[in-house]
Amino acid sequence: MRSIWDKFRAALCISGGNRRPPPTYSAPVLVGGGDEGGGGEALQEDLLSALPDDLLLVVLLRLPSAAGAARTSVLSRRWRRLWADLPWLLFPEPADLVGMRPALAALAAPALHQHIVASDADPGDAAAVLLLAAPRLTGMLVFHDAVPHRAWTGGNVDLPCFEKAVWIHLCLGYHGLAFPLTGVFAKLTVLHFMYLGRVKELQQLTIVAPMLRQLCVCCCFIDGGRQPVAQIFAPVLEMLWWDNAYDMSSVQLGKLAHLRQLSTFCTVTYGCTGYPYNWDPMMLLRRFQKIPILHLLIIYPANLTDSQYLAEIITLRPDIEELSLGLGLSARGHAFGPCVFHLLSIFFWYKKAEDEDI
Amino acid sequence: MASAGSGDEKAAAAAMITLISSDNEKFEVTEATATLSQTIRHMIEDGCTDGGVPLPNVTSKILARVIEYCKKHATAAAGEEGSSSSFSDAAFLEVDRAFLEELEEFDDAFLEVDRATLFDLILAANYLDIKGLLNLTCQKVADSVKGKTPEQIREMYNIVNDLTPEEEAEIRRETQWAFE
Repeated sequence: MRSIWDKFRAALCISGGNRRPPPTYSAPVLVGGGDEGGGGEALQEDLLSALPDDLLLVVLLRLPSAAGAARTSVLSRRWRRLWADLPWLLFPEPADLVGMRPALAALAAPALHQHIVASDADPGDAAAVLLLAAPRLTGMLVFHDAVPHRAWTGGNVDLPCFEKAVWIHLCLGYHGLAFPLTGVFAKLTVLHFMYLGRVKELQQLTIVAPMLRQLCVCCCFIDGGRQPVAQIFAPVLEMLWWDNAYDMSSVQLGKLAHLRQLSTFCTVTYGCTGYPYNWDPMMLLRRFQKIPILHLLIIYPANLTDSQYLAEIITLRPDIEELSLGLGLSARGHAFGPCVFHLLSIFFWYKKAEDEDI
Repeated sequence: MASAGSGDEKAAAAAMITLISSDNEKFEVTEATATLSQTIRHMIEDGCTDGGVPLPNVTSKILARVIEYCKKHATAAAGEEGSSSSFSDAAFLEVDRAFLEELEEFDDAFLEVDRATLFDLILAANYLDIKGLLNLTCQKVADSVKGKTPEQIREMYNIVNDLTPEEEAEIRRETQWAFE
């Protein structure tokens, strides 16, 4: 999560506009040169309104909320439509999705980014906001619904087609997701789905994104007994983060000839449910012709009673160039040494064999 | 005078650039200080800094302040690189924190200027493309407006309301969500 936030923040940094030609603007302050003798405060000029639009927008972006920016519209004619050119709107968290709609609807310029943190949003309100954002958004959309743990209510959020968006991160709490029947996410390069319909898992995932380079589908198909169904058309995908159940027959990923990095997870045990979790990552690993970078999250279930340690069934492929291991420890006191040792020894055994071949 | 171009880091760090203000005053600064400005960085990369860099939009008074800011922040950037490369123990983190606090204090003191100077600094930061300075100065303006009613903002910045009462009422209706 952190990297997403960091990237979002980085993207929010104002681009200074490199090599911008000197402004032709002639502010009285430049001529006056400042406070020699007179003192700036004594001047009765409206120095603020005299700033060029792009700088006033930089100031408005630094206000704590879109409402504060929009209130400047009554200052004077100069200010009336200025705020509507903001490249993104800032809403207090958790966002009031109903109150947000007129703000999004009033945006004049295409919004570069939109970041919405809701709390237990109504699926209809979430869908309405996404629908307003879809035709306007040209950069990044982050929609994060933080909800308290509760049962799935049966609501689905209708996802419109974001034809111009480059980056979409969706975490819809306990809601399901309904995909658009038509339309292509033509510009999309990064797509993150987190915890969609976590309790009643996603029924089917269909993605058509010809430019997609990074896809993260995290905890969308996690409930053991069900078969994950997905059809993904992303021919130039470079990074796949798949923290889900995986079934070769029902998850269609296409050729993925450009894949550079795979992130997935495995557990050290067969859990009490008897579901063979570790078959999924193993089948996923075998699915690709080449995986240069593998990130494997090793999960230790909280309750190891009556479970069998079976990390040995995890095998690695010989073509992995970089291996990183993460440890998901949900209970204290587990010894993670044996499993890590097992994986590292396979990895280094391949590396050694490679060196000897050379 | 201009970029050494030798690839030797020490030589590059010591290379001096001459900046010429609108009132023809010359300022000698190190390349590290000058390149906080993306505009000047590009000029150096393109090799157009021989004979000084004329800055017709910046007065000597403002340029002196801008250089003061860049010097301080260039030192901070150099310090950060040095400390993060090899050490990360508690003592060094402590030094880093102290340094950041000092930098924050510097920024606060730097912003203690009259309003005309503040707006000149914004224009200069924009023209020279110094992101940190632009953010700092615009944040100062935003903070001064934050939480104020439109009437208070008008009064503070001498903004003349040229809207008719009908127009103002219409805008308030349109943006009712923002006034609730």
